[in-house]
Amino acid sequence: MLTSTTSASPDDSADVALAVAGDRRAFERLYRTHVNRVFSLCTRMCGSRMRGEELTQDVFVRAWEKLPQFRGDAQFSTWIHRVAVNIVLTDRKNEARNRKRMVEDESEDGETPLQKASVTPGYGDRMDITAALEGLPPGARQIFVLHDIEGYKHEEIAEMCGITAGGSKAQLHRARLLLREALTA
Amino acid sequence: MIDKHLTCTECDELFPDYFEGELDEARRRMIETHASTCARCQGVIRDIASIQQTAANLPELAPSRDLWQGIEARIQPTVVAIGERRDGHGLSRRMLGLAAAALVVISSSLTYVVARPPASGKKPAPVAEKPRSSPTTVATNATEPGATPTTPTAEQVDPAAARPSALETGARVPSVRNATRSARTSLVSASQLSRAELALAPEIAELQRTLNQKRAELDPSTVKIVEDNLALIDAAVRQARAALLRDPASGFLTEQLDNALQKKVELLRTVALLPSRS
Repeated sequence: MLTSTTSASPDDSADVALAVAGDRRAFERLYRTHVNRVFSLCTRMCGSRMRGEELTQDVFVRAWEKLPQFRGDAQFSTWIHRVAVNIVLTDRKNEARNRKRMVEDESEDGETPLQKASVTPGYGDRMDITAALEGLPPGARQIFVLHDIEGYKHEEIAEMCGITAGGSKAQLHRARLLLREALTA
Repeated sequence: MIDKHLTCTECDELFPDYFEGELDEARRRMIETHASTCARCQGVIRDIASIQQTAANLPELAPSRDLWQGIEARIQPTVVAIGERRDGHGLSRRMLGLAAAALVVISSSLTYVVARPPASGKKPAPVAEKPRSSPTTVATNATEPGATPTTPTAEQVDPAAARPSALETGARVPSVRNATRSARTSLVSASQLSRAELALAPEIAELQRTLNQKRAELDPSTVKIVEDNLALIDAAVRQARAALLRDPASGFLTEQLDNALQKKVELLRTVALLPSRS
């Protein structure tokens, strides 16, 4: 699933062992190694750089708390990536719940329709997906990021998001069509 | 089916499987045959393939500022003062409700035991009687200045930790199964304990020692109820810990574990304040 240049870092295991023992400097090194990948995931999944930074901090704080339970069965990069996905998905659920409380006449699952106005016009042939992603409904955006950018399989996405693999596939296709519409507008 | 000419609508229905590479060769060829004469569907195929390729090769983003300082500030070791209560921030209403219900059950049980008339016709123990042992001493031992807390074992935190829970006996992936087997034969190592467990360990250990010392002074039925409640809480601790092994990132499970440990401390504190049998 996850292919990352950082995942092959030879220093990870030593720093993980030190960090488990409470060495914050070792944990800082792990942070420096993996922050961009975690931030990319968070930002693309939530559609906001500012929120992406907040979520990235949450991910590393949670990782520090859970580090004693990291057994080394997977690479640290894979493990923290999964922590990040869970943090973002939980954040989205909380956000949707709060919004549902506040707004009565919400659309189907609390998602906002694609706002073409948020996509800078004139992309033409240039595929500025990052900008276009921000205009996608949250559910479709997250599945697009997990599948097409991060390389998760539909079965894995289904398990993480609590949906079926078929539902994941349908959302992905919807996201791709919406992106195409935005990018060719 | 092989010779059928597809319409654009039929192509639209098949596109999700087409782009996932899950169509059989015949249907795939039908779509491509249709697209060769349909500018619309040809555009869909070309654009989505391009989106897929671009998405798979996106560069990593970098935050606009160094986030480490904010992280470091949040991972500094915290001192948990005895008597300090969690403010409930981050707990769902459902969790708060469950915690409140559990507290009511435990408190009611203890109140009943203390207040009920003795079966043997003895005078009931006065509820407001000052306890013989000093609970204040017990409650502050863990945070006395100068006290050097040793790294607790799981047994000190939760004596039931060495016993496998029902959850822990299920089939697992090999690594977790090995960990479970290890837990059956030895104590869980301190490195496996959460920060909350480590923080509460000294107080729990001290309160449990107090309970053991007071055991003979308490009414046997009171001891029974206390032990039954402790067993329930210990089971919740074991289940939360076992579930966290499978899903370490779950905030819900972390809260469950923390709540169970807090509940255990509250119960033990209450017992430390109980008057002795008259």
